[in-house]
Amino acid sequence: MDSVRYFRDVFRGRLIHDLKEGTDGHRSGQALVEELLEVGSLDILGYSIPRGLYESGIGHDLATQIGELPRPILLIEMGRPGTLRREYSALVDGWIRGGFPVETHVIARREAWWFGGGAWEVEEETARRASLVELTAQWLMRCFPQEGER
Amino acid sequence: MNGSARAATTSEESPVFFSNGTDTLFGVFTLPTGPALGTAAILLWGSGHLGSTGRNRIWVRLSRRLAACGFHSFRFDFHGVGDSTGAVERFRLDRPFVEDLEAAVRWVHSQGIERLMLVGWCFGARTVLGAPHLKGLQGVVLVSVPVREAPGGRRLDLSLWEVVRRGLHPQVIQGFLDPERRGLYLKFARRYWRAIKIRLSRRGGEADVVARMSQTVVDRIADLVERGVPILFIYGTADVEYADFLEARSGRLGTVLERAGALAEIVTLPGRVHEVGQIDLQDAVIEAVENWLPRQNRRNATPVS
Repeated sequence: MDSVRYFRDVFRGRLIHDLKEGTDGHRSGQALVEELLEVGSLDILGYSIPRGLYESGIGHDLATQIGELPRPILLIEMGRPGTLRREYSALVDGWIRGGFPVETHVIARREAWWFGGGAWEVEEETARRASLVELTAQWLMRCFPQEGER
Repeated sequence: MNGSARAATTSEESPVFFSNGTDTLFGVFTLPTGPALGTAAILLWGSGHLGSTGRNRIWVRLSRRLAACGFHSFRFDFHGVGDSTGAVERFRLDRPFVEDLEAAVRWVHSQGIERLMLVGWCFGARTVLGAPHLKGLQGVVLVSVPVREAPGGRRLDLSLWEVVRRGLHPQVIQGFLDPERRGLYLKFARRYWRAIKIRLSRRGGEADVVARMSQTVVDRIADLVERGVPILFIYGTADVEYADFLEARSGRLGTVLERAGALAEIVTLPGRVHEVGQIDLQDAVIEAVENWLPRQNRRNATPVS
């Protein structure tokens, strides 16, 4: 939802890895940022984070990026079954107040952490993934019906 | 790299769909940028979601650099992965996707390229070993290949303490409490319990070491050696798979590798190669393959079969 937290998590992943491996385990997130700015890229668990990505991403958040022009929004949270996380609920409330038609769903599954590639899913997980695809497809079809269906 | 040739770009790459039975598999075929050697490198990634690109696009980078050396290359998604059709419930080391590889080889041969080099990473390397009799095979690269026999592809030789420690992990407890996943976790619990019973009854020794190593893997390596196919093993010194490899060398694998002599090379890199978690190690693997493949291609002036 906000890039500061996103990059903090990214750097934290590297720091935890270094600590686990016993290499440079005492560095701080700020030291990683400095390395990124100086060297031009940073190795995060086998992926390169280039300086341009960091500099163009920092300071942005989802609410600002979406803006104020009302348009349909589908928000799907992957996590524990139940209601939306508080931060998402607040965001959705703001959008609704601003006149956005918002649809939300919670799918009970663990979100794949992108550096790890995600664990291979057993059959029931695959079914949940299918429901994610189905929800998105249905929403798109409702928002953009074919001629004659309007 | 060939001094005069450049690495390939998307302009030398073509998306390819090819059949394996009822499945349609997706691959990317890369043309050489220098004089063609008439040899194709087929790249096989390991288990999981990543498919033909590999982690951090390592197979893309390797394909493009091999193009500068005169190799064609072909990287593809296993069935159930990436853009291929089909489904995979679980990857098992003892059930590699040999039919996918054979289908890829048929497609490469259909392009008029008979000579092949196979490069496999972990599960991909086990798949390579599942097909030692392929026509035109010139060499194989096995990156962090697991030599351990583990039903279900999991390590079952853990100590009792380690099993208890893992069993008490919050994620595992959560798994047992989840009615949808409970069956799966119970299945693994039963497997670990059986493995502990076997372990307690054996009490170490060479027989135990040999029993835990995959005899199929050793047989396949022996087949390759018998046929005169050069093999490059690449491991990270901190890979669990490397520790297993060293252990296996104390048994029959050691005899096979002695017989292989210069046909088998072992490259070790400092750190964990298997996890592909460091860019400098990815680069080191690319460089090792890029150095080894042209040497073998020169050595084998004519196809092996």
